[in-house]
This record gives sequence, structure tokens and C-alpha cells, in this order.
Amino acid sequence: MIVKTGYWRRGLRLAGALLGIGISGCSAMPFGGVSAPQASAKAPPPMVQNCGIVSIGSPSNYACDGKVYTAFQLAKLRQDWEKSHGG
Amino acid sequence: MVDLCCPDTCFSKLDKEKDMKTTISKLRSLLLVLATGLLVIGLAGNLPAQDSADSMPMLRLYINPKTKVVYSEPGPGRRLLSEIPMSTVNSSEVLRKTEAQLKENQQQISELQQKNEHLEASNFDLNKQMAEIKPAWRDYINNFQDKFRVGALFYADYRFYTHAGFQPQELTQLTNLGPGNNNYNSFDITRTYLNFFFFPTPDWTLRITPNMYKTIGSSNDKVGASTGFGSNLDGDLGVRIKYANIQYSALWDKLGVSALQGGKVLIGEIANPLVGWEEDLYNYRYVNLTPWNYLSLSSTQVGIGFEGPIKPFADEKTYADYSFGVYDNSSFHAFEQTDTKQGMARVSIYPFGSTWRFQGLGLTGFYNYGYGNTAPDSAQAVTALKGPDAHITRIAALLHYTAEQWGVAGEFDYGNNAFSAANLFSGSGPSDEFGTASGTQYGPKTAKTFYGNSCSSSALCYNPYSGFGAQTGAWNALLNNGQSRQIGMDIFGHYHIPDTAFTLFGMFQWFQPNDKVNPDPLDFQRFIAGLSYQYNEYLRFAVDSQNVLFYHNQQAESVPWLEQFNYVPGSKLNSILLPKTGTIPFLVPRDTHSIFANVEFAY
Repeated sequence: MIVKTGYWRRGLRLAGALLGIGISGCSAMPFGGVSAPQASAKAPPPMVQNCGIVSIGSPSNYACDGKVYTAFQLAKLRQDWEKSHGG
Repeated sequence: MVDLCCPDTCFSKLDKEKDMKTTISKLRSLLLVLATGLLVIGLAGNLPAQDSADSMPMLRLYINPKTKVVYSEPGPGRRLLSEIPMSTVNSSEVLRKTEAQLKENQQQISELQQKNEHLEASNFDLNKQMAEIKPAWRDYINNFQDKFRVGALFYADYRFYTHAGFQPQELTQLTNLGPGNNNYNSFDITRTYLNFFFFPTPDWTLRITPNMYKTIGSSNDKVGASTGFGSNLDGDLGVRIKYANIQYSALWDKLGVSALQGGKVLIGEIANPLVGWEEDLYNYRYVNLTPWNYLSLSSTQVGIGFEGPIKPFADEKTYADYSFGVYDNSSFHAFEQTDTKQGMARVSIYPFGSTWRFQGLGLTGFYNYGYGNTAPDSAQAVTALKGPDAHITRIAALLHYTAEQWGVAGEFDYGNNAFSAANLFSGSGPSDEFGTASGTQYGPKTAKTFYGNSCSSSALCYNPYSGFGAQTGAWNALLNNGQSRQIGMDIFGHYHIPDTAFTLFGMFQWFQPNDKVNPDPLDFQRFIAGLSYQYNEYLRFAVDSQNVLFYHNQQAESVPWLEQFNYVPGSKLNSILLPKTGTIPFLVPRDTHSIFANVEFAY
């Protein structure tokens, strides 16, 4: 039977504190550049299905987040994003 | 103007250049041989003879292998090149021949030098021309791609009518079979724009848009005494020009009116102020027509128009936008017959400012005043009622709110003589409306009185209980009397289902074709409800239900009651007598119900 003593508890707390410091310290370390996982964390571009239709024509225009895009611009943004994410 | 050489000319010049290089190469070889020969002969003629070991006079020549220079004496770095017995050399004869050869060679050299100079000059010109040609091509291509654009718009559908009937067309040139043809279904193409835009300068644009349309009607040809050709027009997919106009966009910039910048002047076959604008507000033109377009107002007019936003403040928001113009009274696909013109104007006000077109709360007013497309000599003829020659008024007042994820609009419509029988039956109508009597006519061998007319085999009478002849006479009286007044109310909108590519949409229209007729058997309600799927930036699909409800109970009206309007008892329609007395039954048309699957491609 293990009897927890004050010394044992203090040791556990110290180990936890060191672990926390270590983790937080590592996470705060800057990376050398933008890695692929970081790029994938970027928000996707506006998708046409989430935009309001401004006009249908050649080209069609859509309002996304308060900004107006042509269908060509939205398609390029989507395709670029899909390419950068292995799509 | 840049000189562009044709392939033949270019090859000729390249050949010349090649000849010139060959000539230069030959010239160099000749000079080398000549120099060597001269050296040999010169040495032979001028140097003293050198004796060989056995006292025979010999000419010894030495060469420096590095410099390739021939010497007559030995020296450092020189090697014996050759020993020539002097007895083999007749100096005077050799000299004479050499001098002659030298003169000939000098002459050749001179000629070659001249030729070379000429070729060099020619080559310089050629290089200069080639240098000019390449940029010219690049410039031409760059100009073309920057100042020309092609787009396309395509609408197609499949439709199935659970209940077929007479009605206005749901989409352009879309016709359906009438009552008695339930389960009628069809695949259709209703729009194939090819949009050509030319931008020769930043402020001028030329637009040309051919569009497919379904031809209706046929006329067979008789050729010669006994030959005939069948028509290939009926139902054929023809092409006509939907838009052909020039646009000037720098008027307000040049006048220095900054609040109106972005405005355009349009001349030619142009979109009218209401229909195209409202189609974009509604978003689902590929499914069904907007209210006034459904009733009678064409989307395109021939004339001159002005349109643009009004941005009075520095916040760049649009507080109003306008469109107005003067146009032919005829539609864009008809011959203009009138000596008058029609005017149209629309103003949309966004009291809180709009960051993009339609965004936020908007109030819109539209006014149109024109005349029926009738030639002056016919329009001025004295008649009891003006009928189709009367003036036409269309008014629309809209209250609308648009967000990125949803939109809703309410509309009030008012008109005079703006909904004729031809409009009511633009999608499907009784054959009596278009020149052929329907049903079985009453025509006994011996004349008998029938609905007040004396009817016989030579004077046929419409039977109100067979076909639609008598009804067509009554419907035309109610609609085409020159004093009709239209009242309508509409509501339409859409809602995007979050995190999906689906949007719910719908439209409801209530319309009184002539509110002076009470009750009017032609009053109707129309509603469309559907689900749209946005596949990508260019492609949308929809499934929807489209319905027209002639909502009054079936009614019959007496001839005296119909006379209040434009009904002439005992008159003829398609050479057949209309009832003179009695009552015409079944004046309320049947409802129509249909399911549509639509597709839109816009690029």
C-alpha cells in the first residue's frame, strides 16, 4: 500500500508545473516559416453557394461578406485553395 | 502601319541571308588560298635559290606551326615545310600567270565585296523588319484579348403538367398543350445567349447577343404548277438578336458630376428599366418570369436609355439607382408601326445606403406609358372602343430587402390595357384565338335559330358547349376593349439554407386582368415554389412547382352583361357567328399545375 505523503504531492505538483511550462514554452516558439499544416489552417475563400447573387450574366456577380466578386474570381479563389489543399 | 511579310517573302529574304553567308565563307577561303599562293610565288620569284646538299638549287620553305606563317629562312620555332627544285619553277612564266590570276582574283574580290555590301544592307533591312513584325503580332493579340470578351447564358428545363390548360408562358417562348392534355411533358431550351462584348476604348462598349428562340407557325410553299415544300419553321430553334447596343460610360465623368459616376448611355436594342433589374433582384429568372414580364412587358426594347447609380456622399454607398429611356412601342422582335414612342422610368431608393447592388432596404417605382403597335391610319380610325390601339400604362411599386443569405420583395402592379388576350394565351390558348375554330359548330341544312342567330350549313354558329369559340369571343371582349384596368400584387423571395448549397425560393402573384369586370372569370393567382442547388460558380439546378389558379367558381355570363364591355352579339370570329342572345358558360379557364426541373449555365 502506497501512502501519499506531503513530499510526494509536492513532487507531483512540481512535475506538473514543469510540464506546463515546457509545453507552453515550446508552443510559443516561432517556426521558421509557414508550413503546410499552417496554410491548411487558413480560412477557405468565399464559396459561391454562401454568397448573394448580384446579377446573372457574363460574368455573374456575387456578394460575399460585403464584397462583390465575379464568378471567375470566386472560381479562381476556390481552385487555388483546393490546389493548396491537395484537392 | 506595320509591314507584315507573307511567308513567301520571308523565306526569300532568309534565302538571301543564307546566300550571303555562303559567299562570305567562299570569299574567306579564296583569300586564304590566294595569300598562300602569292607568298609561295613571291618567294620563288624574289628569294635567291637555295642549294640542296647535292648542289641542286632548291627552294626551302619553313613554317611556324603555331602562327601558320611560311618563311623562306629557318628560324626559332620554324619547321621545314617543303623543298622545291628550282628547275621546276619557271619564274617569269609563273609570274605572268600569277599576275593574270591576281588581276582576275582582284576583280572577283571586288565584285564579291560589292555583293557583300549589298547583302549586308539587305540583311540589315531584313533584321529591322523582323524586329518590327514580332511586336506587331504581340500588340495585336494583346489588344484583342483586352478588348473583347465572350460569355454565354443557357437555360433548359424538363416540365411535367399534372393539369394542363390555357395560360401565359412560364418562360420565354415556352408553350404547352391546353385542357384535356394532362401529363403533357417536354424537354426545352429557353435561352442560349452568346454575349459578345467589344471594348475599343475604356468608355465605349459594343454588345451583341444572339439568342435562340422556338419558332411557332408554319407556311408551306407552293412552287411552280405542281410542286410544294413543307415548312421547317414550326418548333424549329431559330436564332435572333436579343441585344445589340453601344454603351457610353464616361458621360458624368466628363461633366464632372461625381455623384452619378458609373452611369451609362445605351443606344440600340437594350434591356428595359424594370425587367432585367427585377430578374436580378429575384435571382431565379431561369425558373420563371418576373411579374410584369409574365404579364406583357418585354425585357428588351429598341431605343435609347440612361442608367446608373447615385452616390451622393463620400461613403461610396449607393443611395439610389435609376434607369429611363424612350423606345419603340413594338417589342424587339416586331416591326414598329406607330408614329409615337413609349417612355419608361425606374428609380430605386436605398434610404440607408447600399454597399452592393440591392443590399439592404429598397423602395422602387416604375412607370411606363406607350401605345399599342398599330399603324397611324388604323389607329385613327373611328371605333366605339379603341381596343388594341389604346394607350398602355404599366406601374410597379416595390418594397424590398436583400441580404446575402436571403431576400424578400413585395410589389403592387397597376396597368391600363396592359394585358390582352394574346398575353393571357401566350403560353397556351384556344385555337379560336389564333384563327382556327375549335369544337363542333351548329349548322343545320335548313336555317334554324340558335342563340339568337339564324344558323345553317352556310352560316355556321358557335355552340357555347362545344370548343372554346364563344368563350374566346367573351374573353377578348373583357380584355381587349381599350378601357381595361389591371391590378396585381406580388411577393417573392429566397432563403439560403445555411452550410448547404441549397436555397428555397418562391413567388406568388395575384392578378386582376380587368378590375372593371366584377366578377372577372379571368382573375388568377400564380405561385411558384422550389429548391435551387448551386453546383459551382457557373451552374445551378432547381426543382419547382409552377401553378396558375383561375380561382373564381365556374361562371356563365349573359350576352347583355358581356355587351357592357366589348362583346358584339352576333358578330363573327373566324367566320363563325358568336351568340347573339343567351348565356355563355364555362368562362373560368381551368387551373394548371406543373413540375419543373431547371438548369442555368452562366459564363
